[in-house]
Amino acid sequence: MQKIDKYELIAMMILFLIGTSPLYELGVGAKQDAWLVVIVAMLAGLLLLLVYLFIQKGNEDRNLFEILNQQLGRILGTIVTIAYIFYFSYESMRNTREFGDIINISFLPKTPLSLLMLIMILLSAYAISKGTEVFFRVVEFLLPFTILGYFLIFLMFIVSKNIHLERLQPVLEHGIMPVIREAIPKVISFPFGEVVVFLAFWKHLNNKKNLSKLSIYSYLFVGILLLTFNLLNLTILSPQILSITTLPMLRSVRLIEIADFLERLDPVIILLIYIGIFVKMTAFYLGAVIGLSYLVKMSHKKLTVIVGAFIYTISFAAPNFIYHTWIGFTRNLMYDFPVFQIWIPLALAAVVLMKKLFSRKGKQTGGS
Amino acid sequence: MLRRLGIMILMLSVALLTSGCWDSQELNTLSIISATSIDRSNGKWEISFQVVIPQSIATQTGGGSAGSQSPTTIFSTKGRSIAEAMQNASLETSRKLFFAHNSVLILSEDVARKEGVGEILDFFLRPFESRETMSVLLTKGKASNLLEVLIPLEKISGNAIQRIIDQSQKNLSQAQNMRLIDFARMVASLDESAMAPELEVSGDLTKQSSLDALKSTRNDAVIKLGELGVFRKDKLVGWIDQKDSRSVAWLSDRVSSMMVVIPCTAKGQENQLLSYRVLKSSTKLEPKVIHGKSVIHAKISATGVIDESGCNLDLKNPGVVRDLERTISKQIGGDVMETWSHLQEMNVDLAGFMNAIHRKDPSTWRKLMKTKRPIEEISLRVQVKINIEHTNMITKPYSSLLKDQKF
Repeated sequence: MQKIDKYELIAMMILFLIGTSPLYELGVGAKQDAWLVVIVAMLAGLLLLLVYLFIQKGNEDRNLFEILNQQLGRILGTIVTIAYIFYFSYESMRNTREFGDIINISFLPKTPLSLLMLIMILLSAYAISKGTEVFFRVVEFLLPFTILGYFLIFLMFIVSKNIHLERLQPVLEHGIMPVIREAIPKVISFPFGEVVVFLAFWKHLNNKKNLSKLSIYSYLFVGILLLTFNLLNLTILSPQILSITTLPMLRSVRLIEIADFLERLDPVIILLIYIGIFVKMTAFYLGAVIGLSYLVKMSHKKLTVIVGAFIYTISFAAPNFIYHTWIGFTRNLMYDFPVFQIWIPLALAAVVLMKKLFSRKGKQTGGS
Repeated sequence: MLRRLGIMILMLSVALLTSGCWDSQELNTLSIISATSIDRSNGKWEISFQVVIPQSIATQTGGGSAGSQSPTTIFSTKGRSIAEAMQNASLETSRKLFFAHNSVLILSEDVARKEGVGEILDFFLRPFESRETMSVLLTKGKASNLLEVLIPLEKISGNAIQRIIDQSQKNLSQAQNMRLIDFARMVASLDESAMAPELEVSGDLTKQSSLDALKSTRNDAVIKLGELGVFRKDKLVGWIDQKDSRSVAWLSDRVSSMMVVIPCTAKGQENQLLSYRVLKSSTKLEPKVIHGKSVIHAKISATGVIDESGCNLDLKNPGVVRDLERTISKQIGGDVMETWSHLQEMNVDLAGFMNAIHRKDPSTWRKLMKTKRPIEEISLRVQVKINIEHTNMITKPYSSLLKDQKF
């Protein structure tokens, strides 16, 4: 049995949720109110997190797939498990493809996409083949650098006088509805709802007493970090420029010019983003491997190779980056991901709740 | 054994594959662009690059000067689109054009007036290499001419031009350094008109583009900042002069340092002037609605010092200084109001008044946007508060020594 301790869990939750999110302007459809979208989505996502935690609390020593099979029965459980394996693989592939294309756009335009993605998958596969525990420890090691990096960039934004807070006004120009429409389900599904994958890892925590507290604190920490960077992009680039920019954060960072020598910091942000992407794609990849290992009796290494090959293959599914982002932002986030992040967990939680009530009732009647 | 061999092969192939050979760029295969200009001729884009010649800007140690070769060279190419024109440069350059160090973009008036800057902005915001911090400039003549002028003290004139704008922004607050990203934002903004400083050559251009020009102490031609080009949407609609540019700087809170020259008010001293240098200033725009009309309340406050006094005034006396402050305020206020009427005539919003209204009072803004010429619906009230902090190293004017000589 693999064990993870609380610092590893905190690091994992933070880096996982950071992922690629700072690079994009979440909720840009609400123009200057995008930051409000983040707050709304963060709070709504917090409710989801509580649902996930409730499911985990009711099934202390089981992971998502064990819970599914135990609560939903053999047949339905297997079907949903398979669906989750595909969902996790798909999420992992989305991150892989995204970063490959980002590198193509920015630094290495001529390097074949297939190679960039292969290197990333190999790295992730290596981390996973060493087991859950090792992967979590790697993430713990990466956390300080990442936080320091983001903090330094934040400081440099302030020092370089690029921030124009007045660009946030007028607040709520068209009322609250556009904000809510942007937040739900789009920004919940990316990045906040993705926490659902932790249902596959939580059972490894060695001291489950603190589970809820740790998860919620890490979640809120990331929420504030994402909010900060969302605000930075808004105030630095203005909503109009943001609405046509492919990678807003990369653009903002390029505006930093301090004392004629600290400038062109885009490699730094790409590095930070890569750390986030690595953690996120590997976590989903690992989720898929754990799921498959529940269905098929095979060695961990073999499963890692199989799932990795699958992710690598489907990462060529989109003919181009344009299609990839289009399907991601207009289809997946609206219709597909909520199924796995909201509807199934809600149903599962309902089942857990019902069983709990019934069993308590049964006990009570039995006792009296 | 076989396993070890396998690992060796794997390591070698990884080392080969991850070295990034696809995108390797050697320094000696690049021509580094320091400035770009865009003109229009015969329905085609004409784009010119100022390319740095590395050998001639390298500092040489141990004697011998690098002065025999011009520090930069210029390529001009044409094409139906800007990108095509740039591609066509490959027909005549021996090296790949490298854009990342381009610091200046100069547009000719012709392009900005007729074609608009939309396509140009798209081209420069799109590629990863091009920097959004480059300065946008306008010129009335042919833009590529400006790239030819050699600037004393500086080797690469593209960088020098950017430094000229920076300097003038810091010391004069007249021309603002317009970064590409800010320019793009202002052009796209509903509530703001974009502007860009004009660069002009005064003097004999042909002489100053030869390296011999740097051999004499007096230059045949200099590059200097002139007026301010004003845009409506993405098209240039007119120019405002330097006096108006200064008032615009007052209104849009961009004054960092400025010299205000006022005539002395005392009798018989009409031709004598006093110079007041602004050290710090701030402007607050407060939009209000008074009797159904939009009013912008501009509160300007500035702190500065006396730099020169031709008048015989008792600058030790706080009462006199207070009078001076009032005169300076009146002068600035008057200038600003005059500029505002010019801006209303041109129907442009350089000071961001619509922005201020939009941010504070969206409903009034919406009403204004429905009118045909919203700028004319706004009236301006200026309130200037000037503070003279000190008079530098002497108190009373030197001329007082000459007048009140007593035995």
